[in-house]
Amino acid sequence: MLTARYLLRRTANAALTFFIAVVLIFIVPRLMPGSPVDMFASQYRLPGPVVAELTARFGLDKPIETQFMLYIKNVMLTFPPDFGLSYNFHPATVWSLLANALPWTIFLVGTSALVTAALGVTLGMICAWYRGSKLETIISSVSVFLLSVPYFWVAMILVLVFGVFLRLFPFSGATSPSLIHRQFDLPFVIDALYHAILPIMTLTVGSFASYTLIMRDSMASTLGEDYILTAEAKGVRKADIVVKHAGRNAMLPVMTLFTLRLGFMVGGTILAETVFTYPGVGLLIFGAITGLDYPLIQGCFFVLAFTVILSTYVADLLYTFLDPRIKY
Amino acid sequence: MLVLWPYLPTKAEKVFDEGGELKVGLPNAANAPLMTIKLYVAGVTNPISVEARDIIYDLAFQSLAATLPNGTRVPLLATQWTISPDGRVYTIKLRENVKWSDGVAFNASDVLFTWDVYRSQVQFDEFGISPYVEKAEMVNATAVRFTLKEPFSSWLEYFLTYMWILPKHEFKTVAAQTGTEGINKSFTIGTGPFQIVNFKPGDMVVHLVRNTNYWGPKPHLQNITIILLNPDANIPGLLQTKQVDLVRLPSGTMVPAILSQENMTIDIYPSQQFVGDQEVGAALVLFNCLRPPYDNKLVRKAISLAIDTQAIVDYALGGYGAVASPGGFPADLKTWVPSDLGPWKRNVTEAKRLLEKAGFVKGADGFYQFPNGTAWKPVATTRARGASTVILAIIDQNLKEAGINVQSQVLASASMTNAWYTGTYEFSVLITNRPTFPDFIINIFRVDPGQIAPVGVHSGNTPGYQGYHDWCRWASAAQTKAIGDARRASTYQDQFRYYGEAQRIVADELPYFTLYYTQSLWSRRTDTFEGYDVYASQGFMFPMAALATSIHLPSYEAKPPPPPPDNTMLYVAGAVVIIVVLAALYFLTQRK
Amino acid sequence: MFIQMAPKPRSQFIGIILGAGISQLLSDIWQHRRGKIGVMVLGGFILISLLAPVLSPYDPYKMIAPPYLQPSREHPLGTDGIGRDLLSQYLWGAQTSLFVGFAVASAVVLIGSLIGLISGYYGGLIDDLLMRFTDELMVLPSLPLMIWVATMLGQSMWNIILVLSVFGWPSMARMVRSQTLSLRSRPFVDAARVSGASDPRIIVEIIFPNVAPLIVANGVLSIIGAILGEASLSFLGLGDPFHMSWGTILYFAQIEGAFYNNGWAWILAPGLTIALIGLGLTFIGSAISEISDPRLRSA
Repeated sequence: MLTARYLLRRTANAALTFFIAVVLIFIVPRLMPGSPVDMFASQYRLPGPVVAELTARFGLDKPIETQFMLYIKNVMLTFPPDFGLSYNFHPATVWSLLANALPWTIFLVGTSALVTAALGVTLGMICAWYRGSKLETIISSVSVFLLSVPYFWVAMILVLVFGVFLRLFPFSGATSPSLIHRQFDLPFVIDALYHAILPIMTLTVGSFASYTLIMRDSMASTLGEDYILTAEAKGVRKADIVVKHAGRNAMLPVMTLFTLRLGFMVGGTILAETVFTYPGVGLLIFGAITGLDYPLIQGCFFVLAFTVILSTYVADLLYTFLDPRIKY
Repeated sequence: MLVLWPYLPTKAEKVFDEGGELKVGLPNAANAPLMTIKLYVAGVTNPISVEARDIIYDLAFQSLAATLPNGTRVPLLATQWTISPDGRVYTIKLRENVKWSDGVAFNASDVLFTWDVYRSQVQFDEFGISPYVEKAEMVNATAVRFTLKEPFSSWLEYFLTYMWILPKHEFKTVAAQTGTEGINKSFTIGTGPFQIVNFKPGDMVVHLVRNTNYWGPKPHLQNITIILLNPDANIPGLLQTKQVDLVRLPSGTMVPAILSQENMTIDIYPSQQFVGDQEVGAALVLFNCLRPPYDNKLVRKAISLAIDTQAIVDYALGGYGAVASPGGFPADLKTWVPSDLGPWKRNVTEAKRLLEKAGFVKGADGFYQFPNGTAWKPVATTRARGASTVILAIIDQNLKEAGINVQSQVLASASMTNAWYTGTYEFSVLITNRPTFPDFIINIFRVDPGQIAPVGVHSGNTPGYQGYHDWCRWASAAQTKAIGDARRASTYQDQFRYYGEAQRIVADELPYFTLYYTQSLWSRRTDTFEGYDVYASQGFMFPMAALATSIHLPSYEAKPPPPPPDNTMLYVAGAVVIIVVLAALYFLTQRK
Repeated sequence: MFIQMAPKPRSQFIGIILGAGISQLLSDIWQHRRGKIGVMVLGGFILISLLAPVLSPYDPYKMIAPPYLQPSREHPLGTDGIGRDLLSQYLWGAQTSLFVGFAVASAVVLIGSLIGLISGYYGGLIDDLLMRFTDELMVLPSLPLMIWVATMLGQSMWNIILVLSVFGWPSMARMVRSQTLSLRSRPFVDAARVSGASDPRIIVEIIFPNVAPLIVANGVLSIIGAILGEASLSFLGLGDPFHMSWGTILYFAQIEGAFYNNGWAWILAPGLTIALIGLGLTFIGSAISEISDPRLRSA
């Protein structure tokens, strides 16, 4: 049951975790050997005066306490959070880059999360229905197998099969390059979906297995409960039992898994986006890290930490809310 | 002089309907960052890579002249140039009746303005030509005169071809170029056949339209759309689905895939004659000449002889490249490379002989050791980028076969550059672009603009330091003399002789070893437009231009200075309060 | 059989942990149907990797053939973009991948169970601090962080092991902690405390043996996590390209244009192997769980 105290405690917990994460995100780049400015000064062979000017521009000439204060102010107390200018995409701001990349990742993650959940839950229910049959064994085995498949490899296989051999789907980019007038109209949407098919398939194949198995186990234990027995004795149809009675209760773990997963998926799309050169947050992070673009790294990690903490928080609350048996 | 039209094919192929649109794909290595910090025109082109950027600029901006592969100079914004008998005074006559794309007349003040910008910062003048100039003056509205302190035979090549001319009326002062507005404007006003419409950082598409004020023949196309591609993009797919009409290939490995499809073809431009750019892709092995045993030229030569450069060209480039001359230039650059400096051939026997001559002995494990018996494990490094890794893998095998127990490492980009900069590396592979003009031999890895460095000069943090880093840490008085002679030469034969000398010195000493020069590969559909014949048309879709003038540090929204830190305490207090409250809440609400 | 919930005399604990327990465990797994399959699969691949020097037809780093060859008798998996034999790469890669997997799993088990046991047993401030630390690690997205640390440290196998270990132990710690927590409140633990046993002794002799099956089962699963992690990092180019692993093979596939040159065997083999090994490990893991807790056995 969701009490006010529980809510408060959870919120405080999440906020505290987030705050610590924000602080860590500030500290860690500065712990790395060499200041960020030195790094790119040496990399691009910049002469002294240029380095000095850049240091000033990126605000790195101030004492660390001031930098930290400014960081906290810009990041937590303003919206949109201001991480400054990206080194690599100078003079674009970090936030503008994130704002460009986030929608693509959210689109990808959101769609595949829904598809994955739907597919996984359905298969899980089928497993429960046909408990002990060959079908169930096949589905379970395939699911277990898929759990250990490296999903970037799945991406590569999909590219081979659908992109290269069958030439059905495009395997790079989020939209056709020629669709450069980015209006949000039907051809654009269709084109975006077309380009998203393979990445979504990849993410789905990589994740539905856990939904299936969890749903199956959850259904198995729910179906063993007394009230199901009662319903059967009363003559309720099997379909109704499975879907309405057991299914709804068994969904609980799935819901929490779903919300949890959603948060982690944002960071987890790095591999898929790299294989498909899909311009989302994953590709942005990867480019930022390998290009040592510190402001952008900070911004990306901030977004990731935020989504994960948020989804964990929502998952917690959801579980408590949905399951009246839990008392806190 | 015959004026050549570099923008249209001479055979009247049906290119596009009048006013059509050409979509060109250019692979853009996204990790080629901070181009704004580097020297080139309009910082807002970040993050476009060097190769792509040059092609785009060549459409919108022009230098005073361009040089064709066969050495002919094509007049663009300048029509005539004369040199005084003592070789010090250059009078350059500008083209008349040229207008900028916004209609304002082009004249000599634009050229002098551009020159001021170019020499205003030492990092803009990458070739070190401004120290040579004593006086720059306007003769009249259509002529300028530059007086040099001493003869410099290559000065004209740099000055005419390596500076894109900027419109003075857009900036008025050199300092004004730092404003965002100024830069955006500058980007769209040029004298080239096309005009950049607008662009902001992060855009991956650049639109160009026909410049109605262009002084040359009206360009056939109305629009050119340049699409910047991630090098991993599915280029055959893009061509097949007609998303692009013409695309430059990032590597030769996808050629078979393209050719296996119908209606597609590849145009190959030989190594030094890359269309549209005077810089060509190349790869080099850099030696740290201050660090034993690489201070011994026999060792450097042995390592270089052990490398199978042909295999590297075949495997890493798919065959689309050519082994370089040890003097540092493409082996087939007949205009400047002496015939005795032909392409380098692998010779393992000779490599072993040189190693033994240098004092190494073969150990029991078959690898060479130092004379005193300690094992020799040279460390070869490179940056972590796909192509470099492959090249290093090949070199690793080549050297091991020759008895050198090389330990190859791939380093993070910043670590590698740091190692080059601080001299902590042994020898490394570098993939880069190089102009193929022979005077450039002096400019590779030199420290002070215009001079060969004393070795051991260090970092940018040294007060008063301004310049680059001599990564190879090598200098030679003979080379300085040869270059000096070449610059003072007054005839082509003399230039050829002295630059040849300089190349021979490099070939003999091998402070760096040039592996290959790439060929430039472009792919297009055969049914979208008829082929364009580069040589017949004496020109290119994208004309040559050179390194740009640049403006000051890149565009930057001038923000007001951050508030003075008298708010700090407030924030500290606020943060402390927040943490305390949160922690308190958390602990208070915790019950077992 | 593994210990269940009842306390046992001291000497038996030690004995059970070592020697007798392990061989008993192995034979139990072998008798379990799926466990047997798992052991065979895993054992098979370990054997192959150990025999790589013998089985591998060529040096995996030598360029000995034309590039992009299709599978044939001389090259059962074909050749890569610079003419190296793929089967040799695959066999040698097995060594690296499996070694990293086991090394990381060992580290994760060690660190994770240590922290989990201490945290769960002592509770209080130590628990709060340790768990907060663990939570922070779990919350920050692991793959980007691993990429970042690996980029900073440089590309070598040991750095990969380090990075994977650092980000792998939190979930083990959490799990061990919750199990420890529930065990701690059991009567027999109180009994031991009352009878004067010291804390460390309780942890080692009472709590640990009961948590051990969980640790082992998850340790086995963390091997597959480690192998997958290594493959991912190497695929992104952060592994040592001069030290073949399955991930590195896929990395080279990507950069050498396997897609454009019909390198299907090139791509298929490493990934399929990882999946098979994962399957084997999952079987072993579930076998262990079921052996140690009969309630989990499927009907």
